[in-house]
This record gives sequence, C-alpha cells and structure tokens, in this order.
Amino acid sequence: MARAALVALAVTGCLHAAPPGAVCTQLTDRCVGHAIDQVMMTAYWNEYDDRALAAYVAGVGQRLLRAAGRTDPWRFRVLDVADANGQANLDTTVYVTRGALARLRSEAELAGLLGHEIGHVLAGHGHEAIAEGQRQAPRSDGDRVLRAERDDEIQADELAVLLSSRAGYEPRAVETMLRALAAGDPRSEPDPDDPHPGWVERLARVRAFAARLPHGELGEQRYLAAIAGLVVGDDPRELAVVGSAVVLARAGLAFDLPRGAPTEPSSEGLMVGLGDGAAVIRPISSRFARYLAPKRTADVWQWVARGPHGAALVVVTSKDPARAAALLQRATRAPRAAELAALHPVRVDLTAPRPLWPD
Amino acid sequence: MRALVVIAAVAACARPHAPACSGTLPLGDRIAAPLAERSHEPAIIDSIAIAGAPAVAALARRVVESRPGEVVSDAPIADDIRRLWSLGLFADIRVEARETGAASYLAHERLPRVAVVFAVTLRPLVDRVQIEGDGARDPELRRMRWLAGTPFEPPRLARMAADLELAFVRDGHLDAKVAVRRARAPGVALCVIAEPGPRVTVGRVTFPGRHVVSRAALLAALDGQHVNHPGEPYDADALALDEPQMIAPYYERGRIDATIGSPRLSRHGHHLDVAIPIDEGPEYRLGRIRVDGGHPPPPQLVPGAVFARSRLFAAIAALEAELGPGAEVTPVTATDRAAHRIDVRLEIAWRPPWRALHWLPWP
Repeated sequence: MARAALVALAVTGCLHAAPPGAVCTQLTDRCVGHAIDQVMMTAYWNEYDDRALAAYVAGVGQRLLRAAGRTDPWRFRVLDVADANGQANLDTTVYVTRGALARLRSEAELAGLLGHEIGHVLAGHGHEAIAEGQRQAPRSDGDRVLRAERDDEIQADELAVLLSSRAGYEPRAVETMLRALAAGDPRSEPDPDDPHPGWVERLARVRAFAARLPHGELGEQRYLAAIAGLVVGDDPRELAVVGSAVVLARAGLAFDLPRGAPTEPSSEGLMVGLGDGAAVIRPISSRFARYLAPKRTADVWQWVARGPHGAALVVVTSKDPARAAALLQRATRAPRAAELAALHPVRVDLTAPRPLWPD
Repeated sequence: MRALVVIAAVAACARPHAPACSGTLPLGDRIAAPLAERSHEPAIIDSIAIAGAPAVAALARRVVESRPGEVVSDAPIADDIRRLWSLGLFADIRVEARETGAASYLAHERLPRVAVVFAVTLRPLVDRVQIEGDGARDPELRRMRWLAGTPFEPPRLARMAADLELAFVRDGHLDAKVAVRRARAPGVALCVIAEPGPRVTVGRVTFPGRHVVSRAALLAALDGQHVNHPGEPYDADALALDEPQMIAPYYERGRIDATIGSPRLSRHGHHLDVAIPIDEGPEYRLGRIRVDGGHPPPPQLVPGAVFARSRLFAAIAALEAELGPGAEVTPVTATDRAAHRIDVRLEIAWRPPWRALHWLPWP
C-alpha cells in the first residue's frame, strides 16, 4: 500500500508540475518512475560508494537486457542499505542493496536477482499502479489485487530464469539466489499480506523451469572479486554511539550526550533520553535537508543540523523543548579523530559458509 | 497461362486475411485425478514418493502431509493433491497405491502396507504468443507477450486475462473482453484476444428525492477523484466512499436520518446516467441543552433551532476554550424520533496537563 501511495504522489507530481529538467511532461511509466527515483534517492536512500562495483552490476544488467532484446539505457543503483532486497522502478531503473549483494556468491546469482527486477519492468507490472494513481479511487477487491501481485511475482521469477539462460548464465543459480535471500526466514507458507509466494512454491517453480534449460556460466570468481571488501550490516560511519557522543561520521557531525543518557536504535533513527523528554537523531542527505524547514510546537521542536558532508534531522519532544533543543544544539560539533578511528564497518567474509534456505 | 497466374494472385490478395487466432481452443486444464481405483480394504502407508519430476520431487514432498504409518484415507490424500496442485507446477497429478507385500497389525487387524506414489506431469512451456484485437497495443498486454518460453499454466493465464479485463472495465470500457486461448498448432501456442470495446463515461448524475440540499453541493462531494464525474468512468467503490461527504450537508440541516440509496444506472450508448436516490428524512430540532457543573449553555446551541453538526462542534470548542487547558467536552445526545427533537448534554472531563513518555527508563 505504501508503494501505491508513492506512485499516487509521483503521478500527481507528473500531472501538475514538471520539474526543471524533467524527463518528460506526460504521464508515462518513465515520468512517474523518474519522479519516484528522485524522491527515494533524496529522502530515503544513498548509493553505496563503490563505483567499480556499481559499474560491474550495471554490466551484468546490460547483458541481461541485450538477451531481452532491449538496447535502451537502463540505470542500476547499488543502495547503501544493509537489508537484502532488490527493487524495480516503474521506469528503467533497478535497485539492489549491498545487503543482497553480500549474500550472493556468483555473477549468475546476481543475474537472477537483476533478472527478476528487470522482468517486472519488461512485463509492465507497475503500469496499473499508474492508472490507479491517476484514478485515485479505492479498491474493494483487496484479495484479487494481492492474487494479481502474486502472479506478477511468479512471472518475474520465470523471467529471471529465462533471461539468465538467454544471457548465457546458469539458470539454476536463480534458485540459489532465492535461497540465499531467504536464509533466516522460517516461513514456508505465504504471508497473507506478502505478494511473494511462499518459499516452497517459489523454489519449486524456479527449479522445475530451470531444469529444462541448458547449463550456463556461474562467473563466481568475477563476482567474488567485485564484492571483496563489501560492507555488511549497519555501517557505523552512518551513525554510532562512541563513548558519550552520537557520531555521524559520514555527515561530519557529532552530538555530546548528557551524562548517563540512555539511547535506543529505532526505525526513525537513534532515540536519546533527555530527562524530561527525548530526541531522535537521524542522518539525512544534504539534498534532502534543503526540503526540511524547522518546526516548533508546544511539545516538539525539529531542526536540521548541517555538517560538511551531510546532515542530521533532530526531533526533540519535551515539556520544555526549547531548553532541550538548546542543550543539543550547544552539544553539536565535528567528530574527533579518536571517535572516527573507532568506527570500523564489518566487511563481507567470503570464507565463511553461506546459510541457505531451508536452514 | 500467365493471365491465369495473375488472376489467381489477385484473388488471393483479395481474400480477407484469416487472423492467426482463429481456430482456437479453450485453455483447459486437467483437474487432479481422484485416488486411483483400488480395493477399499484398509491399508497402511509404507512409503510416499513423487514420481515424474525428479528435479522438484524433494520440494514437492514437503507439501505432502500424509506420513508413512498412517492409514490410507481419501480425504487426506485429496488434500495432498490440492497442495501439490497449488504449487502451479503440474499439468496432471495421479495417485497410485501399490501393495508392497508387507503387512502391519492395527487393533489386531492385519492390514497390507502400500507404497503411495503421486505421479506428476510437469507443465509444458509456451512456444509462442499471438496477441490480437483492438487492445493488442495496450501497455497492459506486455505481460502476456512475456509468457513465451515460460511454463504453460492455464489457471494463472485465466486470472491474468480476467485481471486485464477488469483493468479495462475500471477505465470505463464496460464491454471489455480479454480471452486467452490455445491455438490449433503443434506445441503450445497461445492466442490473446483483447477487445476493450468503447469507453463508457458518466453522462448525467442526478439525486432523486433531493430537496433541501442543492445538486451542486452533492456533486461537490464527489470531488477529488477522477471518477464518477461527467466524462469520467463510473466507479462504484469510490461512490460508496463518498457517501459520508454526501450525507454531511444533511447533518447541517437537521436531517440526521438521511440515507443515500444504491445508485441506479442507465446506459445510453457510450454514456452512463447515474441516479443516486436520497431519502432526506424529517428535520430535527434542538430540545433541552444542559452543561455539566451548572455552566450556562453555549450561545451556539439554541433550543428549538434546527440541529446542525457544525454548530454543536463549535459550541464544544468554545466551551473548552472558556474552561481552559485540560478540559475535554463530550456531547451526550438523546433523540426523540417521534417529536423529531434532540436533547444535548455537554459532559466535562479534565485531563492532566502533560503525559510523560514511557518508552525509556528515566536516568
């Protein structure tokens, strides 16, 4: 449903205002996809800082596209996100997270992941979302919609196998790709709200189809060389507590905390207890910071702290938010060398055995 | 002779070109076969196997819930067939129970042991897809083109066709038809025939039974969506969600019993006239007005005046502002339907000025 809301927002944006340098002014997949890409890359995602890896992933993607008979340029983004996921935009943009790359072990598995997302775009699975976004009318047939989305996922898996095989990759690697991404997930039956089929059905379909196609190359060595040094898990340089300070190394910011202040990570950012209230600190891009204005109400103050390379959104909730905000603003500084030296991201261990579903 | 060849060639060109999808068959799909004929003597399951698809036998085995040692029974076996069927892999599933020659005792009764085999046939692959009809170029049909080379799964194809048809209908093509059929050709050749038909849009919207609220005000309640306005597609779901907005003006005019009926549709060519019946109900007036604690009634509420919801909310807001921070005013109404009168009592409660956060331990 969140995706539908985002599409509706992008559709509205395309209909009413073409931004400067817009890709187009018509309500097409490309226009809406471009708008979604701009919103997501500004407000939510950063690209993983490894140009060689990005070029390698794009090269695999282009090989699949040639096998699909497509010569137009697509964009492949490696997101600096720890979770294992891949996503396709309505437009010709495919996203894959570093978390997903860390679980794969061959170029053929990467081709399977990209092929699934490319399959969604080729088959136009997101196109109906544009029509729904324009219509802005509700649906009462939620079960039917979920069934249709599940059929889309089945088709995307089939196209992953088909395109991988046509591109000369080993189609059976699509199954190991899925098993690698599913590792740690105990579910074998579909979640009622998840459009993806359950793992048993999904793997059986892929295995049965791939078994009928000729073998291809795995490209293990090329892949392992490409992901050597890949960061896995949360990157402490994004945000970490070092001693009695919250350090946002990438942004070039740090906040000294009150003595004994408790901290707790959350989906919104790092929560910090401030005695009679609390603060949430979340790293954001400088680009996104331009769109955020300070807010002040009786209970809540919000502002953006800017560093040389990024920013942080700070939200304080308190009986006296002015005092709490002043405390935090006085405590804002640049990170110290010792703090930066203490931040070591974990890198992928290619020697450790890889868990595969079923566990 | 040469003239005959020319005449024959001209005649061939003049004949209408037969569409590729002519002579098609329904998709068809073999329904799972029941348990094969066997003696109705009780038997014990000795082993269970999946035969006919070695690549997926182990995975398919995971969905079979019958176990060795259990008594063979039609209902659980039928459930296992359904689970195998739901994987979407198999064009045919048969069950055989073969006696092994061994036996077990159950409650002093000697029962033969049988090997249960689910004999499956994998679905073939689609060789090619031909799309025809006026809707052949619609972007939604892309997913049908990409079926070529993938497994042939009639139930999913039928769902995809139904979903495409529904997408056309939601866009106003009320007569849309999308069908997937199998061509009379070697292998698996699919024909997708997409005929959206004309686009039917809303013509006139009327509100039979309307008297006290203007047509313009009721039409304005349908605003904000690209459906249900003249020139746009008709959408029953959206109309149902607009009902509170259509009722709202009646609550401002004392018509608290007003109801919106089911819309009546009448089609005229490419236009659909929509009649939304309204039962406005009687007009209710305010009766007794009381406020807890002996406070005087707010001036927005006058006994005998026509009931208006916004005036009630304004009275509540004004009283809360007068009482100060922490005051919460809740209306309690008593409705006399015979006299068409509403008595109102405003309850006052007090909330603490600050609610502490509880998600962190305090230092």
